[in-house]
Amino acid sequence: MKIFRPILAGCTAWLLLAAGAATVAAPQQSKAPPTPSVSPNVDADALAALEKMGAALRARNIFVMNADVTKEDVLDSGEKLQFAGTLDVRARRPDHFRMSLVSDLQDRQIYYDGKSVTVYSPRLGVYASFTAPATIAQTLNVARERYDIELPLADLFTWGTDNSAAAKLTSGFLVRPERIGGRACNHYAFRQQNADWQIWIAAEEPSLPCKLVITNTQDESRPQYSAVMRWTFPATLADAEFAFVPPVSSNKIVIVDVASMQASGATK
Amino acid sequence: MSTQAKATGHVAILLLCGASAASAAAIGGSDGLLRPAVQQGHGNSLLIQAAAARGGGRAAGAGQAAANRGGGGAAHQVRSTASSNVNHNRAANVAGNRNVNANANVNRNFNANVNRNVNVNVDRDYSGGWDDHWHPVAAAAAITATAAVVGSIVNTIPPSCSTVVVNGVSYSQCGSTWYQPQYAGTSVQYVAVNPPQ
Repeated sequence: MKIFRPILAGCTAWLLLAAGAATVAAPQQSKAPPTPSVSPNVDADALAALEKMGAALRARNIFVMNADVTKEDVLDSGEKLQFAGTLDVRARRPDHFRMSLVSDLQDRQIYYDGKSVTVYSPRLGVYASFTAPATIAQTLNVARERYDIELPLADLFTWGTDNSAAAKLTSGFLVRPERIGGRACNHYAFRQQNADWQIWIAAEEPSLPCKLVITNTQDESRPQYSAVMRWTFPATLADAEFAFVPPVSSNKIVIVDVASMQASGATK
Repeated sequence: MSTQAKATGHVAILLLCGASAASAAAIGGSDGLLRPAVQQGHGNSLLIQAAAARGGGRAAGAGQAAANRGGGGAAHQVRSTASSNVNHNRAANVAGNRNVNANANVNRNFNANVNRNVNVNVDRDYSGGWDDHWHPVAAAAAITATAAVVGSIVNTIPPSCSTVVVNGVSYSQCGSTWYQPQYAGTSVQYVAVNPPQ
């Protein structure tokens, strides 16, 4: 399939960042009910596995995650195209992260140093910054709500801090043990509105995610996102790791404040 | 694999592609990498794909130009994309994807991108939206042939454009047309502006 191979090779990038990183178990707003009712179709052991994973993730203040990712786009015809890329995240709670999303289609680096977020495109040589709040969790929200930047895999970092997440599940069960990249993991399958998702969680402690697949069920072609993750936990990550230093040839540009535009009715 | 077998494979693919009204073709970029582009119509599609199979790099410009011109037809627009979050996606991520089609209208482009940007990348409307630097010459001609309407937004600009910094603001000057690059989500767009004073 000579024709199609290049398409696959021309991968994407996207992925942005995963990282959402580090969400400190921030005090959730008062919206979380004490004990949300969970669907009887969600097996207790599957739910417990998710919670255990969430605890394992929150237990780490410094981490590095490297992931191989694929993402699918659906064309108007219903045909799906899959693109591949890598995602590298390094985070130091509560207020530093850096992400690198690389593919042949898009190449982005995102820095958060506790004060501001900078998005940089090495290939285009342009960067933009915005003032950021004091924690990773808050910054994730600002990035998403004001600047339309969504950090992939943020779910992983907030699982267990938002009780409403479990209540959204309509189904959940253990599929079976499976090896991912040589690691012994357990494969779980969940469903909720608009998404079916599967997660592979390390069978041994710490209970870190090995792989995540999210299926968008809103489109009949069901595009999927997939990330195979590897975790490492350095003892320290220096400030310099999170500081963006503009290369000489780069130029600063603006980033659109989507929230402001919508508030002013600028978008129709 | 014999040469003959390979050739047969190409023929089969070409026939397959030619049978659809519009098909994506993998075409060679100027950097030698093969990338997808949008192609419409049967005849051109065959040509482009044949060139791609041969590794012909120059076919890229033609393919991209056709894609850029494709506003009136069934260009390969992305209608939806995978989500990289289960619970953290914006509502727009879910409901807004269909707005992608609005890309046919340059003036509405911004909105389309905003709604879509969500996960990841984004402005991959398959007609010139490939991010970062693939700027075939033919596309450049298509863009500069007429002055851009101020306020209109494009996802790529010709490679011949030069970066000019005026009063600390970066512009891209393409002949008599000036663009101001900006991030919309993680995508870089170019907004046509009046020449800076």
